[in-house]
Parts: sequence; C-alpha cells; structure tokens
Amino acid sequence: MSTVYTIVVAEDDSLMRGAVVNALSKSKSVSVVQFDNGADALSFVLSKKPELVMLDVALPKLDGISVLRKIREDEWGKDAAVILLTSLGDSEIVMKEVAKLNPAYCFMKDRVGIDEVVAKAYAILCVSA
Amino acid sequence: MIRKYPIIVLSILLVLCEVCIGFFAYQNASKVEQRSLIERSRTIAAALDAHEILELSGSELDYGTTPYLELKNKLMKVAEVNPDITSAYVTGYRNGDIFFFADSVASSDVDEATPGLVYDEATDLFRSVFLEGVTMFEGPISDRWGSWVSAIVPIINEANGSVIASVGLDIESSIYRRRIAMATAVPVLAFGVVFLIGLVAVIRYQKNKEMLTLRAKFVSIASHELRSPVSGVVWAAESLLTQRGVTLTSAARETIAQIVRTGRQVLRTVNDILDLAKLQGIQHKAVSFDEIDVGQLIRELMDSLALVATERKVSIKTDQALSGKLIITCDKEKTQRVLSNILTNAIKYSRPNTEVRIAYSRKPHAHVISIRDSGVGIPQAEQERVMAGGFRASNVERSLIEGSGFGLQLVKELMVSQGGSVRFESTENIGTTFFIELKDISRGELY
Repeated sequence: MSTVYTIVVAEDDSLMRGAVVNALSKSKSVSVVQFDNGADALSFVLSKKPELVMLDVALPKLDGISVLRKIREDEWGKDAAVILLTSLGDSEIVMKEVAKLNPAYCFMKDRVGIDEVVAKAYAILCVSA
Repeated sequence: MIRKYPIIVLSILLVLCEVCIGFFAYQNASKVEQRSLIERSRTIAAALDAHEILELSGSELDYGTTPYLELKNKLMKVAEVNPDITSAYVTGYRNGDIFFFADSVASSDVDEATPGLVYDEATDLFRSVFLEGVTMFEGPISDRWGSWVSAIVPIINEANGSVIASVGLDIESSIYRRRIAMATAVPVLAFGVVFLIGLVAVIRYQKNKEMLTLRAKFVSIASHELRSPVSGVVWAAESLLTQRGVTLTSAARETIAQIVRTGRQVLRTVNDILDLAKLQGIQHKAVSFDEIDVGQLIRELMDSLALVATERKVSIKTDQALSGKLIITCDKEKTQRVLSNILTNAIKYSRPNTEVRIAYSRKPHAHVISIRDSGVGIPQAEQERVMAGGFRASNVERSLIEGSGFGLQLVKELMVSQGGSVRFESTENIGTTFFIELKDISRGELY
C-alpha cells in the first residue's frame, strides 16, 4: 500500500469544487477533502496538516488570502504547499498580496484549464495519475 | 437634502433668487425712470425764459399775446420731439390754487388746459413745488385726463428766489409701467436662463458620474458574477473528459470539448470588456500632475503581472534607470493605466520563452519609456490603423488572443490628455516596441 496524500480543496462554487475534486481523484495516491468556506478549511488544515491545500480567493467566512496568511503564521504552515485559485486575475492589489504570501502557485481560473491545475498538484506531490 | 429633493430645493432657490433680483431691479428701474423724467423737465425749465412767463397774467387774457404763443409753441415742440410724453405744461400758483399758463395740447383739442384753468386735483406734493421750491415726482395717479406719472420742477425768479411757475411732464402710467417691467424682466430672465443652463450642466455632470459608477458596478459584476461561474462550467466540462471510470462516446466527447471552447471564448470576451472598462473609467477624469516614481510604478506593475508572465513563459526585464528611483511629473493613474495596458499587451502577444524589455531614455524636453516585446508584431500595412480604435491586426485575430482593439486608442487619449504621446515600431513576427513619451514639466514648463 503506497502513501496516500491528503489534498484540501476550499471552493464555494459547487460546480467548480466538484470539477477540481473529480479531476484530482484520478490518482489513487490522493485523498481529497473539500470545504465550501475558508474558516472550516483553515481549522482542518491546521489540525490535519495536509500535503497540499488548494484555496479559492473569494471564499465565504474567511477569504483565501486570509486563510493563506493564517497558514503562513503557523509553524508547520510556513512551508506548506498551497495553490491559490482566483478569478480576479486582473486585480493588481490581490495579486500583489498573493505574491507576498509565497504560494506554491496561483492559477487564474479563467485563464487555465483544469488539466494544468491537476498536473501542478501532482507535480508538487510527486504522484502520477 | 439636495440629493433627496433636488427639484423642490432648486425651485425654491430659483424663486427666492428671482424675487430678490426682481425687487432690486424694480427699485432701480423706477429710480432710473423717475430721474430721467425729472431731468427732462429740468432741461425744459432751463430752456424757458422766466421773464416771458412773468409777462403772462395766467388768465384767458393771455390768448394771442406774444409771450403766450411763444410758450405754447415751445411746449408743443417738446411734445413733438418727445413722443412718449403725453403732456408738457407750465403752471402757476395763486391763492392756494394751481392754474395753467399753457400746455402742449393743441388749441383745437378739447383736452387743452386753457390759460388760467385751475387744476383742482393738484396734490399737496404739487403745491410744495411752489411753496418750497422743490422738484417732485409723483404717480401713477389718476385725474380727469387719465392715469399718469408726472415730474414737476420749479422755475425760480433769479432776482428774489421766488417760484414763478413750474414745468411738468406727464407720461401715461401704462408706458411708465411697461418700461419698468421691461427693465425688471431683463435681469430676472437673464438670471433664470443662466440658472437653468447651470442646472442642465449640473444634471449632465451628475448623469455622467452615475454612468461611471454604473460602469464600475458592471466591472465588479462581470468579474465576480460572470467569470467565476463560467470558469466553473469550463473546468467541470474538462474534468468530465478526464474522469476515471467514465467512458464517453466520441460524440459526447466532442460536445463537451465544444462546451469548453465556447466557455473559454466567453471568458476572453469578458476579459476584453473589463480591460476596456478600466481604461474608460479614467478616460474622463481630469488630469492631475504629481511627481511620480515611475521606476517604482513599473516595478509594482511587474509584480502584479508576474503570474501572467510566468504562465506565458515570458520574462520581463528593466534597464538600470528603472531599477532605482525615477521621478517624472505626470498623471499617476493615467500613466499607470497606459503602462499596464501596453505591458499586458506585450506579454499577451509575446511568444513563449522570450523577454519583454522596459527601458528609459531622455530627450531634451521629454522622458521616453519603451516597452519591447518579441511577439507576433503588427503587419506593416496595418500599422497606421492600429491606433484608430476598434481594430486588431489580422495576424492577431487569427491567433485568438484576447483583445478588443479599442485599448490602444484609449491609451493614446490618456497620453495626449497629459501632453504626452505614444507610438510604436513593429516588424511582423519579430516584435513590437512601444514608446511612451511624457513631457518634462518638472521645471514648471507646461507643454
């Protein structure tokens, strides 16, 4: 039995969340846990320390950037792998803020295909489909 | 208050102002009319010979005498050359009564005041002309001849200072009232017109502001409410294609691929509209000059575009001058938007694994920032039309990269509005260099 990596997906849009979860589940080596708000995702992440976190920026209760900031404040979370998903691709303020928090990657949902996102996630975890 | 009940408040304001203006204009016009009539009476009084009047008896015996005929003649002349005057008359005073020496009415007319005729409707004010030697104006008053305003001045006997007679001029009160009404109406109407023009200007300004707010709202709606769900649809459709344990027929596969393509097209269109809206949002703003660190402005832009650049495998490099502090006096928001637009385009149209270079150079009276890409370029034949707006080079339309073609025209407007300019040099399949020129106004030399 090989190692199973945990990926947390926080995305409020159920269609989008379903798509990401479905696409990530192609690999038997990953287990995906999903949340529809930032606050629940954060408490899970800080207690379970997953191998990868995928955050939408515009999340209810706690936005993705705040979640990432809180993760970075945590001892374990300083180097945790976090991918940000945003549809505010052109907002310069958001992008500057994101860059400061050093995510593993930031995808603009309206610019990339889901394949690229999944490929990136698998590359970070060193798993294959 | 003004926002809530603009029409009511403005109407009240207008009425109040008009009442004040009307009141003062009326007062002034009355004064001007009175003074003018008194002045004319004085002129006539000065033109009459006091000695001749002293020769008159002030009775019917005067008829046919030379002094009477001369006086009558003069008065009739006055009436003739002053058509607005209904009657000019010379009166005397004896035993508490005011009587006529002569007037300007023709002898054949029944309205003529014959010599010696007592004017028993005279007011105390009229009498005071004789008793106190003052000048008076009265009216509008009515007597047996109609309704008048009158100006009456005394003729003084220079020898002893006594009042020999008085000269009076009558104007019909309707003419007098009409003149004052006209003199009052002009400023009232003028103010009304100016007020309404101002009001229209304010309303148009408000409407324009509302439009801009509406556009800002639209931008926000488009980015949050449109891009997210469409992105969701695209990703969901894509995930269907790669899902494990699901076998799709080739027809279903093609349909899903079509959904993905159409979704991406919608996203591109939304992005185009957003880019345009951002440019237009500051197009109508007034130019405001500040000392801007353009080096920092460009570094901030690069930070915000870093992810897009990485995605397209394009690196952005700046020259030495831009890595430090570079102060240029310009409109920050407009310059930032121009740089952002051109830099974004440079990244968009670059080929992968190339670089975009931003450089600074100095001209005698201008700063030049150049942005060079190694992209698709703009065909020679189409270069002139690119800045005209609504135009995309033919080689770009084929490559399906987002862009509406209106951006460059707006960029040009934003530069021209602050006294600068933008131009480019381009070779197809080699790349394009944009030159943004900002006038050096750091020493207060505007344009």
